[in-house]
Amino acid sequence: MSAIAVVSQPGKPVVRLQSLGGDQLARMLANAYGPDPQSLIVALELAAAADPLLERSLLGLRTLRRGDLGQIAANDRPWILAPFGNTGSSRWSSGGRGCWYGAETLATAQCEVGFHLAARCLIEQLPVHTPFARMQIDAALTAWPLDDLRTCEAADLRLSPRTYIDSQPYGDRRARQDSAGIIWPSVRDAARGLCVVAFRPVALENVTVALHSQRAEWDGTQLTWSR
Amino acid sequence: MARRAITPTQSKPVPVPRAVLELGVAMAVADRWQLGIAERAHLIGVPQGTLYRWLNDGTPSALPAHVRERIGHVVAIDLAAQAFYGPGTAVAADAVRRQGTAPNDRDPALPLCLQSTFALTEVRRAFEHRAGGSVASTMLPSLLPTE
Repeated sequence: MSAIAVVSQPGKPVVRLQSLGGDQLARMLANAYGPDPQSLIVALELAAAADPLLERSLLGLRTLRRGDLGQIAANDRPWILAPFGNTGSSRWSSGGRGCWYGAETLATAQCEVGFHLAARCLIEQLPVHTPFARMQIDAALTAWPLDDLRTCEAADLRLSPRTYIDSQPYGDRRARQDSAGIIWPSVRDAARGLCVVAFRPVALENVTVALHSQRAEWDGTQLTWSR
Repeated sequence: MARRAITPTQSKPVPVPRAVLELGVAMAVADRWQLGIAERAHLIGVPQGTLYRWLNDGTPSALPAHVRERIGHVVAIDLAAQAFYGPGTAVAADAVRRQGTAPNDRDPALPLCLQSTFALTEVRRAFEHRAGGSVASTMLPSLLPTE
C-alpha cells in the first residue's frame, strides 16, 4: 500500500500527494554480465522469462484497455502498473483484474499491509524475527470520481473485516461500469483511516517512487514496523 | 582525372550469438561466486563434459530450455543480492556463498543453487523477497506495448 493524503470536495473526493520526506532511493544496475552491452539485456530477459510472477503480471496487464494508461510517464509505469498486474483476489476484486491499493496515511497502510502479512506469517508458520522489506511508494490520485463509502454504516457487509463475499461483486461491477475506484474507511486501522482502490491506471498521477523503505519484523505474534 | 568519392565506411560489429551471450552471463555470475567447473555445470544443469565442450569447442545455436531457465533464476538471485548488498560488490557474492535464504538459516544458499531447479527457484524467491522485489518491475517498461 502507498501512503497518500485525501482532500475532500463535496461529491468528488480528490486524493492528493502527501510528502513523506526521507531520502530518495534509486536503483542502479551495473552490467556485471559480460563485456558485450547486450549482456545485461540478455540477463534481464532470462531472469524475466523464468519468473512465473512476471508471466502472470503480463496476463493481468493485458486486461487493461487502450487509454487506461493515460498520461503516465514511461518511467513511472512499472510502479503504477505492477499492482494492476497482480490479478489475485482482494477486497474489491474477485480475481483476474488487478487493483492499486493506497491508504490515507502511512499508519493506515501499515495496519492494512500488516494484517495480511501477519496472516501469512501464521499460515506459513514463519520463524520469529522474519524481516520484510517494503518499499514506500508515494502517489497521487487525480480528480477522477471515486465511489465514496466513507459514510457507510458499520454493518455494511462490503466493509466486513471477515469476508469479501459482498465487496468483491460490488468492486467487479463498479470496475465494469468504468468507476475509477473506491474510497472507504479502513477496517484494519482502529483510527479508521481512509483507504483507496484505483481500478484503472489512468486514475493515478504524479507517482514518485520509493521515498524510503519500511521494514516489518514478525516476532511470532505480531508485526512491528521500523524504518 | 575524375575523382572518386570516398565514403567513410564503418565496419559493422558482428552480433554475438544469443546462446554465447546467455552462457557468458552464467559464467560471469559463476566467476563472482567463485565456482569451479563442476559447480558451474551443476549451476546450469548440464554434465561437466557438456559445459567443457561448450566453453572450448563452441556453444550450440540455442541453449536447452532448462538451462536457460536455470540461468534466469541465477541472474535473478544475483540481481537481488546486488540490490540488497550493493551493486557489483563482493559482499553480494559472498552473501550467496555463505548466507542462508533466511536470516536465521545456517545453511548457505549456494549449495541449494546447485541442486534441483525447484531449489534454485526457492533461493530466488528468498533473495528477491529480502531485496524487496524482483527484476520484474525493471523489465516491465520494455515489455509493455506502446500506444
